Amino acid sequence: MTSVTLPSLLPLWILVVPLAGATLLAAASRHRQLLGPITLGTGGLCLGLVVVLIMAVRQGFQFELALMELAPPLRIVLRADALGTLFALLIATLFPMATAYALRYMGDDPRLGRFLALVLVSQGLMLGVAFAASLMTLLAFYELFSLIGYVLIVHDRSQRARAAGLKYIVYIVVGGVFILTGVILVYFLAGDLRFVPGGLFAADASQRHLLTAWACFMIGFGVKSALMPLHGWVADAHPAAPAPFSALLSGIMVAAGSFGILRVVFEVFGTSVLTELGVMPWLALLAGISAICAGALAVGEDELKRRLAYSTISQMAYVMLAVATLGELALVGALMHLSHHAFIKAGLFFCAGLVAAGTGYTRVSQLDGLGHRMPRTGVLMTLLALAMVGVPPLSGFLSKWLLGAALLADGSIVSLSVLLVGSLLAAAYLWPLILRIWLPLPGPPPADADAGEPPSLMLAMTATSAVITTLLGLAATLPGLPLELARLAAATLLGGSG
Amino acid sequence: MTMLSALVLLPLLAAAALPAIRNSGGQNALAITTVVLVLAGLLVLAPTVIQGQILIGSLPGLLGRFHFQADPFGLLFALVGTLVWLSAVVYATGYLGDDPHRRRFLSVCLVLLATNLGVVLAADLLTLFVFFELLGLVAVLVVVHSGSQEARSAGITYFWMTLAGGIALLAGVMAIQAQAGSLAWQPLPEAVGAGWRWSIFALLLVGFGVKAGMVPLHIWLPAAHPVAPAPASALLSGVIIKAGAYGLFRCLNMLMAPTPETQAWGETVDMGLLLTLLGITTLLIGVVLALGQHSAKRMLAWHSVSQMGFVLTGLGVGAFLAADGAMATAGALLHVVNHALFKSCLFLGAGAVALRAGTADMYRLGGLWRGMPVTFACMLVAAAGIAGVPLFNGFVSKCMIHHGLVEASQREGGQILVYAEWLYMAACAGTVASFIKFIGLIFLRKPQQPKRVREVQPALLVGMLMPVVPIIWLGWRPHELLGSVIAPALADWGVSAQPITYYLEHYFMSGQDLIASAGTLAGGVAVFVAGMKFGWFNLQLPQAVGVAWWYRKLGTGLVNLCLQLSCLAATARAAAPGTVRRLYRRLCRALRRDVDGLTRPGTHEPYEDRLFEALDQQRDRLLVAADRLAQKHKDQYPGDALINGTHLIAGWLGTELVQRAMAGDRRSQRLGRDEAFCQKLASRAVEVAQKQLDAGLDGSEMQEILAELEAALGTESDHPDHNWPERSWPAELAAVVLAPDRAHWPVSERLAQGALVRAARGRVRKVARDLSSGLLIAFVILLCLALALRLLKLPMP
Repeated sequence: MTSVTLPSLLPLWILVVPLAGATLLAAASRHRQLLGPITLGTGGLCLGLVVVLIMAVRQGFQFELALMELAPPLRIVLRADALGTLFALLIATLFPMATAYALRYMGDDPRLGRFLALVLVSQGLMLGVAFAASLMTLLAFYELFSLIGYVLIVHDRSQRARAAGLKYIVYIVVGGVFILTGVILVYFLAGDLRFVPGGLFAADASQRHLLTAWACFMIGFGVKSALMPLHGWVADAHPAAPAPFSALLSGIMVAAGSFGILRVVFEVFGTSVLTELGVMPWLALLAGISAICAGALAVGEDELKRRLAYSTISQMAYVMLAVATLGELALVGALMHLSHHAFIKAGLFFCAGLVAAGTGYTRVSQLDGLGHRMPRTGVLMTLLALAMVGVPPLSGFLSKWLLGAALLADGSIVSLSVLLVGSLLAAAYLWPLILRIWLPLPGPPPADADAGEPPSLMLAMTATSAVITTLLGLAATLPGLPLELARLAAATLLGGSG
Repeated sequence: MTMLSALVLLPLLAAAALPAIRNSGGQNALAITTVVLVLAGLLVLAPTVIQGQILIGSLPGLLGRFHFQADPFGLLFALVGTLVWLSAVVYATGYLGDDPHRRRFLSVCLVLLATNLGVVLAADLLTLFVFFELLGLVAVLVVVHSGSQEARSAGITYFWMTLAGGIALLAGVMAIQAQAGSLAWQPLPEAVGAGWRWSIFALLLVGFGVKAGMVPLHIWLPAAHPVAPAPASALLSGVIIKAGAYGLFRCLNMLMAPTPETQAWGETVDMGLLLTLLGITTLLIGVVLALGQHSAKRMLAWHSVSQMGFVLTGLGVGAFLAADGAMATAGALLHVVNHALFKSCLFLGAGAVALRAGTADMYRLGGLWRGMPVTFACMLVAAAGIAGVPLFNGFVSKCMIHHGLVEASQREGGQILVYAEWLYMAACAGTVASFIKFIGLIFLRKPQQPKRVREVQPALLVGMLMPVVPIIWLGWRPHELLGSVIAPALADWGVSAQPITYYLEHYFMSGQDLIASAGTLAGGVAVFVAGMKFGWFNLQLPQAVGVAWWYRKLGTGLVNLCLQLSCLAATARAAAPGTVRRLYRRLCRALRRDVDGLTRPGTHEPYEDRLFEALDQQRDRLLVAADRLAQKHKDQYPGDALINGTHLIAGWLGTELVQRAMAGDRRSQRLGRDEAFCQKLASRAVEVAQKQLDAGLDGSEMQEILAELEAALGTESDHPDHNWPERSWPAELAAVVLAPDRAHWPVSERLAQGALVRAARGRVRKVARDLSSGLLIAFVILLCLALALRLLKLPMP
């Protein structure tokens, strides 16, 4: 499908709405009763605009807007194509859920207003990443939201949060430097920074330089997407951050790294250049190691949020595994996994927050018999955990199916085995949760036997993610849902290379 | 929406509605009505399907739709399954009594019915996989229904086996999708090579074999079936494990069957041989272990393993004989039907016995035929069926499989099956012995229990009686089922139906078969007598012989490996060489200063932040108290004069208090939090404000109050040159700008000129240091960049 590019302010509006909301929040942060309406109103408005955008993108339109020129070659350009729109849909859905959750989760935190404002700012910046039309734009928004991420991770101001935040910022800054290097190299090699499906480089570009640029991008974005040797910050940052932000961290922020890699792979280098470079098997190798090792580490981890963080590393490695095949089906699978994982993992982090809010427990070994005290939380957690393992007909199964079938069609039997062993490991680290929640070993009743269900708003947001998870599995083919956008995006990205 | 999709959907909707019903009568009615409706629907469809028409239907889901189709085999499995469901649900309505979880149980039963229908009516492999996996995982809920520790450990085993099988099956289905390009039920294209065929077969064999209880994947079955409530055991053993057999049947006779053009069976023959050997192993191990059980339910569970061995043997032999395998295949299919009938009946009966007698241990029961005559009669019929007594249904199917086995052993490459035939007969004899033991110990011998046992409620009896009629009918007249349903359908698939008609005409109830049957019966009696006499039934094998022990070792080993990996990662971090660690720590400290300084100045001392907040709160508390007091006297003075005056004075007092606290005066810190002290100061502030308004006092009154405050604190504090806590200046600036109500708090001159200035100067110095180090880092990075560019010999701009 050929798409028509139109100049439009729509991407800018989508991006500005959360930022404006953040400003309003900052001004009204002393009036607590205003926080909820402003946050939710902003989220709703932004989601509405994204829905409008999706309707247009489905018709084959793209929107582009040249925002400003930093220096002659360095333009900040926004463009809403299918891939960006898919990512924007994730952002615009998950952020309001997380903020609504935070309204109750951090209800007695005097700095709630600040937290919400910063979350909205980072939503705006993330949308900027989604709509970036050139490496320069991507870099600018990417670095900014990474920095905001630091402030949100250390929100608790505890010793632990600050240590985790420090680790995070060091990783991210170093990664950012590598991305910057990569961007500069690309500019020198190709003379352009726009994203073009099929790649920017001429056929006679120097292999050595290309390789260096590729390595820079992999290190830079790999840090964010938690590729294995660069994953150090993930397991520390997730448990330290407040639960709603952990959900975003896992669902969106880590995905942003993979999103960056997708852009670089398909729209900067292009499949033919990468095939010639022969780097993809190495990416697949790293991703395979990530998937298995992180899964194994998750099995051995007792702290719930850390376990989930390792699970994120393992799951996001599947995306890289699929991208490494450079196939169109695999790309659809990867995008589906990215979207489905976002909702499932966010839901699981919400559950971890519910447990912590209801009982104060943060460890898997403390969950014994929880289902009988907090049945709704227990049911939601079970459902989401099963989705993560990939039990049909939930969305986790669908993306696993798409990924697996695509990998096998490409003849990557090893990658498929990694995927299947990974889901066995996923069962190994999530089954103990389910088992402990519903079937405790006999023993003295726990101290918090009278703990009840947490506030209904938090529960409602967790239930929303569970409902989305089920819906995306049962009715993935409905128009405007990730599957359609992913197919459109894959066709656009790979159409250019023939 | 076609009839088929409605049939699958109906139990799901009923299951969703059931928890909303509070009274148990309504729940029972809904559950039974639903199953009856499904059964009726299937019966309505049956004539059309038997005439050779294939019905289709679909439901939306996943990537488009779930497709269903009803061909004779699917419908046969569905009908038998639903019949067993009806008897189990009717039984359950009485059996559950006032079980606290009865709603959950009935609801889960209906979901299982829907998923089972989904499996047997699936028109493609993806639909089959989805419903198969759901069937397996939802069944966990009935396995762990009682919540006991035994149920827990059975549930764990069950979950893991189901999951592992599911993953193998998924891989197999993916392979079919990749190789054949389609997931419909049709022979794999010729282009798929032998390697892929074997891989697909192996994966599907594991996936379906787990569910079918095939040795060595059977370990969950004898653990899970006995711990479930009796009606659930009947469903698990009677129907759900058949889903595995159904899958293998479809795999061998459809996927692996030759395409109509070529008629070359190729690898399928060898696959059949493999499956036959596995089947023989399964039936033998099942029987031997069943003989050693004390609990009736465990014994029946082991017999399920063994009987599935018969089915697998039949399917294997059928595939081995390729186009001539109709007799064995039909025998296997008939045995599936038969086993569903008698095993569900047996489990229901064992449940009834356990309910009334309080134990399922055969060695502690006896003489129940007096107290429970109807149950006894049902058990007798079902036992005759499973033991293969002529005129009962098991006899027919076992004979058919046996004939197939004999024929296969005469084929080329099938010599090994000669021994298999002996083992087959031995297993039949073992089954007979086992059920002589079952009937003899529980019902016929002298009563062992002290009190007399009564017959169970009518609902349970109805449930047990339902399968009895078909057991006898199929023993007398298998012709309709075999000749009119199974044979033509097999013929449609390119398997000659001639052996089936031949069997019905020449072998059924022939002298040869009756003699063989009499031989196994005599052998069974001999085994029973010898076993009881020499105590063979009490022998215990060492744990390491059982495959379950090895699985457990493997499982715990893998989990331990994961734990080891975690430990390794942790120790690797801790055990880095000393210098590296020191360097890392120093770097961390330096970076923390910079990073913290750049992003949120002054936060490296969170204690002071907290102190500031606490002090602010003290001052606010005093202000609020004073405000409240002033409101009471407001009417006596014009406008807001009194409020303003009080505010001013209380603010002054509060600031003084805060300043003292900051100066390190712990007493004022403590007193500031004291409610009574605040009240006292507040009332003093109101008093002074009133005086001021009444008489226009001068500043001396203020000095007086301060002196009082001094006295209250009881210390001579002259603000020593204290260590002023640093607070971020942007934050302070923001506080002044954004919080106008705080801006007019009076600040004493001493503070303004001394400590504040010093603090501000310190802060500026710190920010400058942070900025400069940040710049330094940026510079170093740029330098590295330039160096890298130079090394790469890029053209510099």
